[in-house]
Amino acid sequence: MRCRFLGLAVLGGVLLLQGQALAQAQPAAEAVPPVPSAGLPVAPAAPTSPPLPAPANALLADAPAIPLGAAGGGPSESSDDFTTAGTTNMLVADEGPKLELYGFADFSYLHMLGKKDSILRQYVAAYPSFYVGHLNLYLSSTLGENWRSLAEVRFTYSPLGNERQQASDGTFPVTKTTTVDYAELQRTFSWGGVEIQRAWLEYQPFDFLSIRGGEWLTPYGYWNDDHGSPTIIAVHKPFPIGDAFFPEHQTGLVALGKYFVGSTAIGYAATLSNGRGPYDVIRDLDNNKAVGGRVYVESSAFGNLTVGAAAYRGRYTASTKRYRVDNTGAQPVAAIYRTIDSAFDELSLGADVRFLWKGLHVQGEVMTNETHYDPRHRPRTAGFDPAPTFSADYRRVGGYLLLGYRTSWLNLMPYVMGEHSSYADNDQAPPVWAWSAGLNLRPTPNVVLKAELAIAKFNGVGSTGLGKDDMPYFGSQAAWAF
Amino acid sequence: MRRRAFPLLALAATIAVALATLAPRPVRAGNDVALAIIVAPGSKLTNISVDDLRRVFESERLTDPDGNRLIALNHPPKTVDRVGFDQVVLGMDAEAVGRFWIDRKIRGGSGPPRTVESLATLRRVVEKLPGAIGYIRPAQLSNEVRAIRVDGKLPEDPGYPVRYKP
Repeated sequence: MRCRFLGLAVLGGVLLLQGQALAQAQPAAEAVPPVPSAGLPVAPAAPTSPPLPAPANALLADAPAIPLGAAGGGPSESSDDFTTAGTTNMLVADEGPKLELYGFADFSYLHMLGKKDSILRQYVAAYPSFYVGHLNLYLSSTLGENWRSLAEVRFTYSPLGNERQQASDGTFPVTKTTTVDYAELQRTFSWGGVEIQRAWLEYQPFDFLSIRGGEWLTPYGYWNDDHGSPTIIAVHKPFPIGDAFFPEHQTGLVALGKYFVGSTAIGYAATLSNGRGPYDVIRDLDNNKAVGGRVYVESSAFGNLTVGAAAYRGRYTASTKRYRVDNTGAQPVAAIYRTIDSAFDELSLGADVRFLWKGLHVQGEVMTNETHYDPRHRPRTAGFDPAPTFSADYRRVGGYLLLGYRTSWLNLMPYVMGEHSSYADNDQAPPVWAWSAGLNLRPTPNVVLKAELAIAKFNGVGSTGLGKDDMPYFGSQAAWAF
Repeated sequence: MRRRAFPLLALAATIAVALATLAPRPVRAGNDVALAIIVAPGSKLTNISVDDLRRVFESERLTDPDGNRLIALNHPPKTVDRVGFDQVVLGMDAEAVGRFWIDRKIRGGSGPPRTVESLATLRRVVEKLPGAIGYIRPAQLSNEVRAIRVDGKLPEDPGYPVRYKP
């Protein structure tokens, strides 16, 4: 069933793209001398305006053009057949909703610098490596006047090569997904996985209100919203974003919208979700729904300035399902129950600012995440200390500031970024400050080339010596939208 | 503490004044090509602000006085009037417009407005489709469509905001 859907999706996307390409190709062929600014009669089927000498860029991503046939080959101007409904159909869909298929991918190179015996270098990437990081596919469709859906899936090589969990014998067993290719004479290949990044249905009853249900990206700040590697300026996420002070995704409902006052827009988002959990995308393990939201003000009076604030409050619960058989009665009775392994309440707060003016790009976020464990379900800590200790409540603080300038030469943007994360939740990782400088080159709107040099410095060693050495690295990435 | 704060405040004020002085003025004045914003003759929409015009062509949802969702209809990419319109109304050149829509779609936002291949089609769709809004040169106006005011001004008025230098 999934294969059939995917096949239809791919077919639909190809047809749509072909339609777009054909539509984009039309104006150049139909080009006529420039239309004077005044005084000439209007030609019935003249192009809207002559094309510029530059080649048509099909990647400008405009929606499919309305075909020329609507004017030339369609009903005559005096015909009653050219009704409002007909025009609407021409604009909206032929039969049923159209599926739009697009996405992005990135190819990266990571070279950890610094001491070869550094724990972090050995832990993260002992040797310089190439890898394809993202291959994300979007499936978007307008389902009617006020309805829209979006799904995004990431294809990944994971869990191949996962060696995160340490075994009791001191090794890091690696996950291998190598299997026999039954279609190729029993040769082998390694399979990967699919991560659903978001899947939601949107209903927009009013200009200022949209309601989405499904899995969506948490509305906070800019980085999480920018989301895709072609849109994100730097190569890697800042520590507080990567460490998820706010959940990256949530599953539930979100109401969002904008209200315009002159050159200012006031935007909001209010969320209700399962909150965080071991597998919150499919199941909540407690009765407490998480709530959150974001408000922001965006002004285009001078450049484009956006200032926002976000909050999230929820309860994390991890539990284990068990069963027992009650033999006390005449007949044994089975019962299923759960034991809670870990539970805490958390509150995340964030503030953000972004200023765009000409090529200047300034963007910063600060955030905090405060956690209070339920005393009955406080988990044990992990570390070298053989004495049993339990996790303490904590308050993480972090943020980043990115400054860049997009030049007109090859759309090159030099940028610098500073970031901080207190790592108060983990006694193995001391607080970190990281600094990076890089270049973001966008030769075409669809292709982004990045290179950055970064160094992370730790304030302390941590309980396992993780912060003993600085972590300098060189990262580069080619990201593209398709 | 105060001694430290004062130079910082002075520096911040100087930067703010410099930025304000160097701020780009909207390319709205001039005597070059004006673009009339057109709607159906029967539409109750008679005036639109430049800010709202930008929002409509950025696929933000706005409703006209008739209760119809405004549907922007664009010229094909890299055509003369499209480039001029994007420059004046959206404040972006063709490359920036391309980046804008790609970034918007990766964020999960809605796509760009539809493009229309010919003047005849544009005028006809604007005439027949409730909420449709487009732009053409004043000389290309016909009785199928009606030009509306932008910030209270018609294309022939001095200071009409939707003008560009070709």
